[in-house]
Amino acid sequence: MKALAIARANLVRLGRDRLGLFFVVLLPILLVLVIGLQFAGGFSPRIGVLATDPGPLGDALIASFDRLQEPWQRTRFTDRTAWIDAVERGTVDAGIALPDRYDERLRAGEDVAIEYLVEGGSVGIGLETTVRALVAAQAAEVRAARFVAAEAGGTAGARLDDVRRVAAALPDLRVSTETAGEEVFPAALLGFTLGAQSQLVLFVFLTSLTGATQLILTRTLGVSRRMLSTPTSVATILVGEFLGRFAVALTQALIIVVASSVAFGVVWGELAGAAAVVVAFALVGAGAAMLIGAVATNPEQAGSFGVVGGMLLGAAGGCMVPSEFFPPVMQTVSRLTPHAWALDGLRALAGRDATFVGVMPQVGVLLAFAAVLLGLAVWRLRVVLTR
Amino acid sequence: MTEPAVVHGATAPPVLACSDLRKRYGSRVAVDGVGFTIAAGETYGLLGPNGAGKTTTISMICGILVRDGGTVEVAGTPVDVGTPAARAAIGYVPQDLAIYPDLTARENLAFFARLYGLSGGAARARIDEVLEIVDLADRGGDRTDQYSGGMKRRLNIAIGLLHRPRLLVLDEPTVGVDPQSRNAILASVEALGREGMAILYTTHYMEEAERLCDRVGIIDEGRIQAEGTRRELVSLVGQRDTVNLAATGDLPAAAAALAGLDGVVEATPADGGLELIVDDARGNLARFLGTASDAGLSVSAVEVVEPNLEAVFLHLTGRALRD
Amino acid sequence: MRAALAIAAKDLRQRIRDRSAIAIAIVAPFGLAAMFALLIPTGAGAFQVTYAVVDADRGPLAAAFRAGPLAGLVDAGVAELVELPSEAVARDRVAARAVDAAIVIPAGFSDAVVAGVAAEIVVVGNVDANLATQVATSVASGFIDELAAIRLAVATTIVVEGSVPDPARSTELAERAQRTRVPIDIVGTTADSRQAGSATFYAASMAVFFLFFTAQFGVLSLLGERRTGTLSRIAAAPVPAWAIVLGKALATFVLAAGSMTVLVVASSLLLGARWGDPAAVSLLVLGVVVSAMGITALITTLTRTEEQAGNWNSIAAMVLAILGGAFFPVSRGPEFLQQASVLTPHAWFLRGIGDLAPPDAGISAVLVPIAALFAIGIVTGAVGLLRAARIVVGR
Repeated sequence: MKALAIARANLVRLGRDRLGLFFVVLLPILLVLVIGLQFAGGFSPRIGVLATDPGPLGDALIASFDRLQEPWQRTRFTDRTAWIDAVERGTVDAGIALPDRYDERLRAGEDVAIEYLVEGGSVGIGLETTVRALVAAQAAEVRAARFVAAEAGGTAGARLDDVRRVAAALPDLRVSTETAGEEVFPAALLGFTLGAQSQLVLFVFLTSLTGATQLILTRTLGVSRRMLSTPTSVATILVGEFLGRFAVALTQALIIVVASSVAFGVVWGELAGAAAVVVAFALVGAGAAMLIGAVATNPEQAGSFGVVGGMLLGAAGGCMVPSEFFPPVMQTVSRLTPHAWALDGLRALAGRDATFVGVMPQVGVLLAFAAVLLGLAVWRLRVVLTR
Repeated sequence: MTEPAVVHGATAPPVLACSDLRKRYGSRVAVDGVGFTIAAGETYGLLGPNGAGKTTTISMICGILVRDGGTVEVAGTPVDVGTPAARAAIGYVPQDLAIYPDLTARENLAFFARLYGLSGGAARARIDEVLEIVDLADRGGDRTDQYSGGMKRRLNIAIGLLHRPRLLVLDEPTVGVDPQSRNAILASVEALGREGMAILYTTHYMEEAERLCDRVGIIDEGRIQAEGTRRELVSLVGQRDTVNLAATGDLPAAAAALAGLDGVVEATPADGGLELIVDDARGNLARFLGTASDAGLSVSAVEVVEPNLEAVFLHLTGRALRD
Repeated sequence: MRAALAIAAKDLRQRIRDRSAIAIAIVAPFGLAAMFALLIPTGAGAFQVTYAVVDADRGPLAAAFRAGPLAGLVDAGVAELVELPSEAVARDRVAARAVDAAIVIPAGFSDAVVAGVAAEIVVVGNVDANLATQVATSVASGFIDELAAIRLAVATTIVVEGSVPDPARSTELAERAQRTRVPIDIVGTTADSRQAGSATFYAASMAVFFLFFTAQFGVLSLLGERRTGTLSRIAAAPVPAWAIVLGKALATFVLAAGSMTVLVVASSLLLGARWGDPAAVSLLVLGVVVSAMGITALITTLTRTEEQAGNWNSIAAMVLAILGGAFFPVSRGPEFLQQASVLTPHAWFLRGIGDLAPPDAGISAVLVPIAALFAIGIVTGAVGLLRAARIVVGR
């Protein structure tokens, strides 16, 4: 019962500490929001279009970026300096500039040049073929219209309509595109979900690493003094602290899960499976807290080293950049962190409709992590406390 | 010390002269017209309970608190928040342990020495001296977070002595100190006074004020309620000294003989001796004993009980001094 | 001034003794920057793909397609080509992402085009290789469009003239149409990159993030010394209030600028970061240190206790870093995020470091970021220092 009281005190302390609340609850949700906003547009290419006077042909060319299988994000510029700036700073992946009186000049039979601007070495070079293809499609129409005008009379501008009419009736000469394979990030994970999963894992662990204050104080103040002042056994304090950290981790995880699904529509997948992963990961966090409590010399030290260690582990575990983007060696290293396993489980639940049974491997690994951490902590505490 | 010792009561200009000091925080008046002087070699005690205005008064005297009114002069120079140079004559020992726990005693001293313009060999020599004075010479290289409470208190005082101030201000320097360290601290304050330093000493411990202070100001609710030597203050209360004589002989006869003496208010036989209520027991003791001897008494022990500041304080404020 | 130096020296000595200060100032940002440099492969922005080519047609048009546009991709260094015997094999490879996409020219393609009936080139892309698939599709479309343009020119002429389709006339028209000019040309130019490489970006962003924890120390320690009583002891010495504040600021500046310098040098030597022109980097570092000191001084003086100040400073450090794009670039975010980022030193510092990416960029390239950083620092710092001086003098 005393252990429960100590556990409850942990939760109450969290509720009273305003900074704690910011870092434990608000910050992860804020990050979920900002990351979600960043990638709400997906990873589709961004093109900057500089056009002061595009006319109907120009408008048609610009609109053709929207009809691509995965539409590009377009930003329109009228100022040349701003357009170059955007390319140089990477606000857009590539830029095209239509010459003045684009429509008028093409219809009058004049040849025009479109400027294509990329920053060297970037993804923009790869985009060039797509831009060339869209321009070529329009050039084909204009070219045909001019040919017709030359052969049969009339102006190129007027002949455009004939060309378009005939084009619609001609048998298809086309490129068909299909996809194959299984998506690494199913659509369900995009938007806010990927970010919410990462932040949950990152912050539950961070809070655990920095929160073992009571245990550290108990250790450094000297257990005998502690026991004299309150008739509480060492084992009770340890169990209470463990339960307390577990309760804090679980509460934090629950808040993030509920808030993110209500506010941002984040998908967490099958309830039992998600609960199993979250509980197992909270146990890992509590185990890590005990280990920190067993080795740190003072709360301030646990605070600063906990933050740094938590962020490094989180990064390695794929909380900041998905581990799918890592080089192969780092992907293997990543598997040594509990973060990677928790994320794996959560992604399987949300993205691939995995069930409770399906995430048992990940849950098993997490429980093993928790057992090892707790074992190390108890072993270390026994050495310290029985000295 | 370079200062020549000054005999008490000499008419040399005072080291500290302050008058009509005032400070209010919002609607609460903390200090309300406090003023006093301290001469070289004199130890002045500011005695009062917690919250009486002692620390506020001291902060204004040291020029670290903006005052609402009044004047402060130390060694003839006006002191204020905006006049840093005038503070060079003051050695301030705050009530808090104002030392850096993560630095050694020597590093603490060296830092404050530089703030008072001491550096190089002169600073090192003076640091050795003050470490001697407070008896920390052998622990000077240790970080102060490894010190005992008493050692920290002593270092706290040592910092205030570094620049050989004309006026040393000690704000409750013995709070939370074990009896042994306390005795050592009181002894060094006595020694400093003997060497000619003017000392302002606040305390709410009666026995410290009685032991150290040449003059005492009793402060309560931001005002000096009474001021003077211990004797002067006690006479305010109107209480007299008690002399207990352990004696054998004709007690009633002796009592009658003594009762007739000038300065004796009352003389009554008691169990195994006489009890006298007198004025100025110390000044008249020889006369009393002579009369008793003439009356055929054989005196084996004499005890003089003087009324103390505790009683004075109780008389002036209607409250006990201790928290 | 001597007193200010004494205070600065004392503060620095205390900070250097405190291992967690070093952890926050140097170990943490360097560790995280190193971690990101490890995690994000260099040249992540480069575009390099592998395509499978299945030529079941073996006709003249297939040969022209392979010799023209496909060979062009290889020459441009964009793609690597793997020849595969059948569409089925190619689909398996694509599914396993052994190749990013397959370009299949079906049997009878050339004949169908010549005969004027429907024909197609098939592109099969891996589901995660969007861009690679799009490029393959575009290359094939460019080739098909040329064929279509001529066919369209011929067909429209015949329709407009109202003549009866005649193979000889069609061939004659087609030959003439082929000789017409393409009316729209594309002129490619390469802009200077004003984006830092990933090692440089993360070294810079982590440095500026943790700088906010280091920069708060001066004014924070004023509050701390007020609590422990050492501040009134310093104030009781013959030292003016401004000298105390100056000493604190000096120590903070040395600590912050020092740890930034260590980070710049260490990330250059160990992580391969390329910061650019040293003089310009120095000015940017000075600017960001001043602005971080200003903002944290202002926040700290608005609070009463060290704990409150620490809390608010941590929150500000986080929020400003997120807005300023220190964790992920804000350029993909919505407009209001990009506008808000202008208020953060993080955004200006990172923008400045990005502007130094072109090899010839010097101080003149980063005058605006430098000015913005100093402006933020001077405005917030002036208010902060005035308020800090009031902490020193009791009121």
